[in-house]
Amino acid sequence: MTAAVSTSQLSKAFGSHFVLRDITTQVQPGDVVGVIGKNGAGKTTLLETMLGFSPLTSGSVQVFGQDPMAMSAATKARIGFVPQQEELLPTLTGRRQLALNGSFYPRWDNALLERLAREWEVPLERRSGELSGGEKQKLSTLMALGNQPDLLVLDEPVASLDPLARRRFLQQLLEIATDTTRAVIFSSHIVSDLERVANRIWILREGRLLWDGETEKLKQSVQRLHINANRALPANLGVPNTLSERRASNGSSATVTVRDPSPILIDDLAARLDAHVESEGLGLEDIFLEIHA
Amino acid sequence: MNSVLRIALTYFYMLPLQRWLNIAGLLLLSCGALMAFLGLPVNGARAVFTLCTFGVTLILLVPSFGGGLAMRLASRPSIVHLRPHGRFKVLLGSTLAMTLVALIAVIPAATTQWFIATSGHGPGSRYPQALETLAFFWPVAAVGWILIFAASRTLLLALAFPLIPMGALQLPVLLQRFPAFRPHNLVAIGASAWLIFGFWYLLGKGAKPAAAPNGAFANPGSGPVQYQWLVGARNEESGENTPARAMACYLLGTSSIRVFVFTGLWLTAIFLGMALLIPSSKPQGGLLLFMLPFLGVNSAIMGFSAARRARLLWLRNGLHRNELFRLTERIALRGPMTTWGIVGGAITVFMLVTQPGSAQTVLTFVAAQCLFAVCLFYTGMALVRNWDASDVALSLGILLLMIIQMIYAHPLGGIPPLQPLITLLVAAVLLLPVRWYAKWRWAGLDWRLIRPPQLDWRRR
Repeated sequence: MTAAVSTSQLSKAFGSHFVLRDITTQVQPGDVVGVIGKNGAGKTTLLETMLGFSPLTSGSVQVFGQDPMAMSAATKARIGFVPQQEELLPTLTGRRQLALNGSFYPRWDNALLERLAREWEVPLERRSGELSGGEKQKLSTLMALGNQPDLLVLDEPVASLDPLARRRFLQQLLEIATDTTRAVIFSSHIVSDLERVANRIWILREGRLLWDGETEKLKQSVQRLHINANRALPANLGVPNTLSERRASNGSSATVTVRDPSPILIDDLAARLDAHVESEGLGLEDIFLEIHA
Repeated sequence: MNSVLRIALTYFYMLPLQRWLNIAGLLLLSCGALMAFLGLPVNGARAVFTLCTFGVTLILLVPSFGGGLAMRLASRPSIVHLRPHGRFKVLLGSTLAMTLVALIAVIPAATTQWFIATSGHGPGSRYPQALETLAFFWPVAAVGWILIFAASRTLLLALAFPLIPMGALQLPVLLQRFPAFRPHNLVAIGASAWLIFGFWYLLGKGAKPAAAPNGAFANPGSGPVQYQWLVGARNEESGENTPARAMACYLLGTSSIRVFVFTGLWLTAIFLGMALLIPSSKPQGGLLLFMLPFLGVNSAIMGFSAARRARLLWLRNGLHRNELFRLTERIALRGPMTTWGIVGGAITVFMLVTQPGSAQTVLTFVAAQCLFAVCLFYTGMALVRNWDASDVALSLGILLLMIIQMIYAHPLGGIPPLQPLITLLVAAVLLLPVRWYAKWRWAGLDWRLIRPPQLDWRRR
């Protein structure tokens, strides 16, 4: 099956400043990919470069097997995109915008949009210039869903939504995700949301893809070790793949976050440091914080 | 005091483009000053005056025309309410900026007079005196600032825009005709107006936000509700949902041509009204022809805006960059050229009626300006590199051409018959290369570099 998106050594620079470096990855139909990273990590640039809004500097990208800068109309019709900054026409009502947008696509599901608009409480009769930030975001998402996209790309789609709307939106996203012919890529700063729906995670730091893999594997691969020794700990604990290390003021306790710990690490540490070592699994948010610590 | 000074200086670098305008302006000013200092007799005082005037114009373009609007934007509650003595500082800073505008405007007169006094080239009486110029510019800047501040609250700002160059050109004539407007009277009028405005600004409820801070890039019909019937915004909800209509809406903000017709009629009314009410320009209507190059700027803005808004169609209509370029030019050129056609047509008819003897010259001139407006549209479409050196070079090149042909047009003294023909030829030769260049740039168009103007708008 053709990958929805595949990139190889993708790099993007503005002038001499590289925003993305050597990104190689694939998104298969059925994947729900959550993209996280600090502000300026390159999330939006990555998503927009993948979709041909921005030419890449080196490497390659393919969307359904085509160069995004030269995608056919049929391929573009398989994509739904919600930009970070809404791009609605403020003088038109939501209903009119949905209808006008629908005129571009051969398969436009009005019934689905009417249902979602009711469920998400989007006032389609009002001009979008008069809508609140959250309502605009919901309308933008509706516009991206109408063509029943095989690849749905959402750039911070829930930033302005209240918790209830976020939950409904994520439920809808899960429904889409259960269809194994579709792929979803979405970025968000609300990591708990990503954890709930994404089966794959991309962590971007300074334009590099720091993690690209299944969410569960990521959570298993990062552990926090609580070390309580009977005597003062040495200056160098000698823990491989340390992400962060915090010591208590008494000098005999420490908390170390490690990546890919070996099965014998805990026993080895306990013996070497004469300490009681406990390991703790971390949530996605903690992992994100540890990685950026 | 530091914050007041900072506010004042901000008016001179508030837009990224101003950096380049300031550099170009300073360069021209330096050339003028150097000629004056060395006493070079090349073209004498005229060359010094012309160089300095263009230099000063580039530097003052934004602060003098945009100062009032910028002051309203700087009067947001988050700026003036949350800072100690916020309003007072913004008012003082603006007063200082306005005074700086007037002082900089004096440079051409002062340099030229100094050149004449030291070198003895050219008659000093032909050029304005420094003090006279200051006495003229300070009150004009003050009143202009207040008017733009007031107009920026409503749709009037866009509608009043054509009055600015027209008014600036007519002002000296008006002042000559009405002796009450002597320099000292003007200063008194300007100072009084500014004082009253200052008291209102400090003691009033506070400045309301600007109606359309994105000016020419705003969606037609996105202004105050009561004006929307004028531009047909209410009609957008009816009619068939077709890709053609959708594409026009995304590129222009409207599928109706009404807003462009309305703009054309409005501009025609202003131009003809002023030409008829102030019959001082010789030959009559010469000034009208002089407005046509300014009208071309409207096309450049539309091309500039369309290049950004084309992003909205990228995933929707399935076209490649080149095809999208062709579609954009087809749809977006229609608007400004409708406006241009109405104004240009009306001016042509007026000129042919009032001066049937110079019909050929007038028709050639109008045709040249029409072609030049199309060139400016493609220039706007080619400016897609977020004001890098190539964007700036292209803009300055076109600006230079515009200035040269405006000098040649010499509206107040009549148009020499050969010059419109030369302009027509230049515009015709320029058109295809500029279009090709814009199309070439679109092949690598990066919508991460240039984004559509802020489409957001909420009823206040």
